[in-house]
Amino acid sequence: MAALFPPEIEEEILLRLPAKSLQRFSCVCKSWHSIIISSSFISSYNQRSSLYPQLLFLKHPYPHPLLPTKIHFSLSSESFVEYSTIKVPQASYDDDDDNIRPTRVELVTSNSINGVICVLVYMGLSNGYSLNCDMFLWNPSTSESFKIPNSEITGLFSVPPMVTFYSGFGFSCEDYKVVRVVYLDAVNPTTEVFSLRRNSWKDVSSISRSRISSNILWASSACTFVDGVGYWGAFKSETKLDFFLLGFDFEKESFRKIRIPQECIDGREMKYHSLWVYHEMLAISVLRFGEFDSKLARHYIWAMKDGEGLNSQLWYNLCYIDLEGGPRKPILTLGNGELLLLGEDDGEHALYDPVMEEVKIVDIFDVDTVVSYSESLVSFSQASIKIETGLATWSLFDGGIVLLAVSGKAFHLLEMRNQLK
Amino acid sequence: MASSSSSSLSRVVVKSSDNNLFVVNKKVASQSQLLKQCIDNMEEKGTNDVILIPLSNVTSNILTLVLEYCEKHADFADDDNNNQELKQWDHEFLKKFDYATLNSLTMAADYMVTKSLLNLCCQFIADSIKDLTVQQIRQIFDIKNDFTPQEEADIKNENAWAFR
Repeated sequence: MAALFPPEIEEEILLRLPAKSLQRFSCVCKSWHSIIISSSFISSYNQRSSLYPQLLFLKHPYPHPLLPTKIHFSLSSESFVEYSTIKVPQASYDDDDDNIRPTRVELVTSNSINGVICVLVYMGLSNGYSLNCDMFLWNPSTSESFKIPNSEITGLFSVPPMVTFYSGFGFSCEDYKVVRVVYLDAVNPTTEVFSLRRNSWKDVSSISRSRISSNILWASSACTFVDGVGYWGAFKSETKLDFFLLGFDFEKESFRKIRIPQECIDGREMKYHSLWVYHEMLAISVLRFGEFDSKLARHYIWAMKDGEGLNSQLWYNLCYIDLEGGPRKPILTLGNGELLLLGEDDGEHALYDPVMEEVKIVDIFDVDTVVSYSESLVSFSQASIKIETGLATWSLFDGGIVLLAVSGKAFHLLEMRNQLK
Repeated sequence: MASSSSSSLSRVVVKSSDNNLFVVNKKVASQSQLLKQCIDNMEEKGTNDVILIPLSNVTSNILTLVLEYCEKHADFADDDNNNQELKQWDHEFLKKFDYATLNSLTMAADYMVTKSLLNLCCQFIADSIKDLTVQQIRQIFDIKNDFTPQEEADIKNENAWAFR
């Protein structure tokens, strides 16, 4: 190879390219190709890009939500620049049948995991309340998607329960997992976990301490994943004011109940909470009832020091932020320490600088959903091949023979495939 | 080691591959870990002589540029890293060069272990090539396409979206 640079410098340069360029450049020559698809490069790349979190915005093009106009912006500290347009993966829907037309897209996560997010596409059924929805794992950097097989638990509710179901997305033991809590009856929810490695759903209701998740009156639609645990804000039905965090440990596949700091509420009803990741810790912002409609809305912000798993949580008060122009939801702490807050009820979005205690208004238009995102080269489609747990197996894939290792992350598979070619 | 002569060099002489000599003061030289290591070693030995450091891989042209960078960054060494003026200077500094010069500068930064310059060069190169076509990349880096047409088509096919 006649490249001017030694491989280690070549790699340093490649690490600094956008994922899209890397995909294109993988056919420059064999040596670039093998660098770009190597598992060590992919994990260095993910590590690097997680230091520079970006934002991924989804816009829903009503009234024809038949997808492919999803827009991806990246964030610089001051302005939002359109980055690329990407498609939400779509299954083969029958256009003529309104009953199964996708009507709504939701994200299961408020933050990406290794650049992967989980997307929920609801199927329209006007005559009932359906559990029919398709789930996808999706890497927006590479546009690769994986359709999660449907769960066996489907159904129609004649009377809508307060909560039909909610889901969460997590990563544990080198495996992407999705948890789904379904309330066919309000008291005994069914908890299922999908594992990408297993490529199937498993009912974990009996081991998941699901009593914690019974009688939920309301739960946030997206889960925030921090250090092995996904968190939702939730209300219990017996005591309407009992706001708590529902945590799902993706390794143990069980629920935990986490109390929010009492000072958050201080005897008053709270509103507009939001959860996000602050320096690898879970952070929460709440507003107290009666304090957000005045001219200055006071946002109380706490972070959770996580000692040993969920047993020894320790909340500590980070700060409070007084903001003019109504309540906002903090959603992302940027690399430079600034906090991005989304305006509620058509309010303006803002960047807050905690050092200078300054607020800048930012322009984002018509945004429906935002996730904190970092680019990644993770590929998971190959992992959809079933892997016998505990065994290494040979499988036929894509015209070639691939060794599927037990620790088989998708990128391991890719690499082996290349070596065998 | 005589305690009174706990020596401290104030400058070193650096020799380029084409045998030109550059007198560099210690603070500037310390921007390069390679030069700093040489200075530290000599100081440990208690040498008071001016030392000569030969750099067999770096030409005078490129060495001049590395030293210009080191000088600027030595001036700002006590400021915080986020200095806007310095960032602006870095950008203007690299903007002047063609790819060949950038390449040599990157190699020199690597050889002389000037990490910040190496990072800067890599980022600059990445930023300037990210929108290029595969053909342009091969040209600039003088890379021979060693794929068969079929192999190349297969890879392109897998990543079809990236070529749009």
